[in-house]
Amino acid sequence: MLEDKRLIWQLQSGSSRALCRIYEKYKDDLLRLAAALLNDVSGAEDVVHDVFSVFIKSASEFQLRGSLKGYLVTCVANRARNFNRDDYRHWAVDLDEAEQVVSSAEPPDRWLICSEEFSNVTNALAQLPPDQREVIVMHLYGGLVFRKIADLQEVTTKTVQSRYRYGLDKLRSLLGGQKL
Amino acid sequence: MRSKNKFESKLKQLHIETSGQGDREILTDLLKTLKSTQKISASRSGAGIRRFLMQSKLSKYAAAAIIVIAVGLGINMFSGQDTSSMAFAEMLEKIRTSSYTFDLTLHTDDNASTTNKTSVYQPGRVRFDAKVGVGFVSSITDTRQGKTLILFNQHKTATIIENADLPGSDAAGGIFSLCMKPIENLWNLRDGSQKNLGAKEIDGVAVEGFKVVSDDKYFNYNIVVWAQIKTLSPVQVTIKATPHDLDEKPMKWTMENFDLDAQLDESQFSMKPPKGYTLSDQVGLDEVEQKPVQSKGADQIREVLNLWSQGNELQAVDLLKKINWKAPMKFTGQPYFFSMSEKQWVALKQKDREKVHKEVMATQTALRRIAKKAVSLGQAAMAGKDYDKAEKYLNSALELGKLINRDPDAVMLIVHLVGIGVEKYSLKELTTLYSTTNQQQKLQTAQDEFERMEAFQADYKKKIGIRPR
Repeated sequence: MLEDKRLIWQLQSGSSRALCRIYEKYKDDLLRLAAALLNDVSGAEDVVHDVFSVFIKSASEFQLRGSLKGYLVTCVANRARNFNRDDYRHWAVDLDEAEQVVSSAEPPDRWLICSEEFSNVTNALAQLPPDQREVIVMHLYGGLVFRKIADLQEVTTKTVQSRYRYGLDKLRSLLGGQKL
Repeated sequence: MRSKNKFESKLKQLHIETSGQGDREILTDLLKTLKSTQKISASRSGAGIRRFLMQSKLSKYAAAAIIVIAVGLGINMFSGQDTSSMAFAEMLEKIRTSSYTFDLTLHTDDNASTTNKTSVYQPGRVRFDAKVGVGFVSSITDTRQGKTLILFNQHKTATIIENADLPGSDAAGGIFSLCMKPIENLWNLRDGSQKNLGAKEIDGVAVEGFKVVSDDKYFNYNIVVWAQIKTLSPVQVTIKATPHDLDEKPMKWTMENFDLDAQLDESQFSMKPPKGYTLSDQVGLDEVEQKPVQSKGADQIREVLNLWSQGNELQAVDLLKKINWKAPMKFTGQPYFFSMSEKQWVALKQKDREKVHKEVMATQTALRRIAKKAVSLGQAAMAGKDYDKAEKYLNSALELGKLINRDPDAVMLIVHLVGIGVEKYSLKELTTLYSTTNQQQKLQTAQDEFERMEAFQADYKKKIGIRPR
């Protein structure tokens, strides 16, 4: 926490080293979170890239009230939710490819590499209702407590706990015969 | 409870990895964002940033090629003091005046590398051809003109990069400035501090090596040259360029397999795009504007978009249902989504290209949402067992997809891809409908059409060079 405050202060002074440290410290967790929320590697990369970019642009006015990780996790979750809300995922293949073509440009090499086990889990997570998936992913991979997730989903903590319980049961059933 | 905790624990333990190359590119971009926060337009999207990264990659190749010319020319300067100066002078003259080829390997941090054939045509022109994500790309640099022509061979489009137009040319690290560095600057690398590395064998060839360390405004160069003892011709040259800015990553290239007697065709080094290629940044939007043509169907499509943009979603979809799709439709002007070909778009000046791109992206977003709405209304009708109504909604979405796809050469590539997506989406729901209503003939037709579209999509992706995921 203290380190994060110091890093943000340094970032606000334009320190590239602070940015590198923040990036190294949280990028894996954020990518894992985004990939689990979206079940779309390319989308996850875009979401995390965008979150960091926006964070840097707004760093000068940023005030850390809780944990930096919690803040970034929330940003990723919100952005991923918008991404899903537009049903982008359904169209992702065509539209991502279309973007590629329009730009006449090669996309950067693959940034995020998922293990088979993780891909199995994200595929199963994608079959859960969005609210349950979000609770599980944000609790397990974002490290958010149920109360915080309840605030984000604008429901009671009990509802979040139920979603977590039901979601986890269904996930276990979906993953029954798969490698984990 | 224990089993549940174990399951949670297993889930938590699953980790992902990131590639060193990806990390480096993203972090480099973020550092640039940090440095130019005030300069970067807030409207630049993530996709735009990713495109910019790609452009950097191409420019990196161009930079490598330019350094290569310089080192190729300067090779004997490093070794001339230790051997017969006359022999080296002859080799120097040969390299200076003859054209040659070699393999250029670009190394990355994660131990990956890319090798491409590079050709140098004297004086001062270099070409390299590389297979990248959107197909085969050729880059031809003329150091005398300070220009690089990039050919996107798959699309038959071309663009010219000049010093002033290079993105981020003033950025710390300055790899773009290397593209334009006159050969002479690197020619004069010899400062008397070069180190003799002695002799060794490379692939059975006896070579002697020299190392020179040099600095310029942006980089510290560590250049190692191995030349054949017998002929003094270059065998292997390795360059490591370490940026003075510690936030930037070093770059490393290796040049091998030199052919100093290559017979090259000068036309391959022309700065004019080949026949049939469309060069970017040539015309203004006003020059491609066509006279409006009366077309009821086209007007109805415009009205559908208009209603949708005003939030009248149901009215928009209802109008879509009423369109006579069999009547010919002719689109001119806006929306450019329906009226502008890829080649016309590429040829536009930068500002107009951005304007059209923005409009096309907005239109495609609206149209796919309209199609989706039509399909969802069809699904709702299906759930209420009103199958005729459901078919009308689904067919309207399908016809919209067909309209978008009516002539792939007349629209932008993205438009065609969206059209394919809309058609497939509608056909999938139509198969569900016909399966529910047990209309076997229609079901078979829809299934066949869906499969045809899938095959067509795969072929099209291959044709335009989209890599499979």
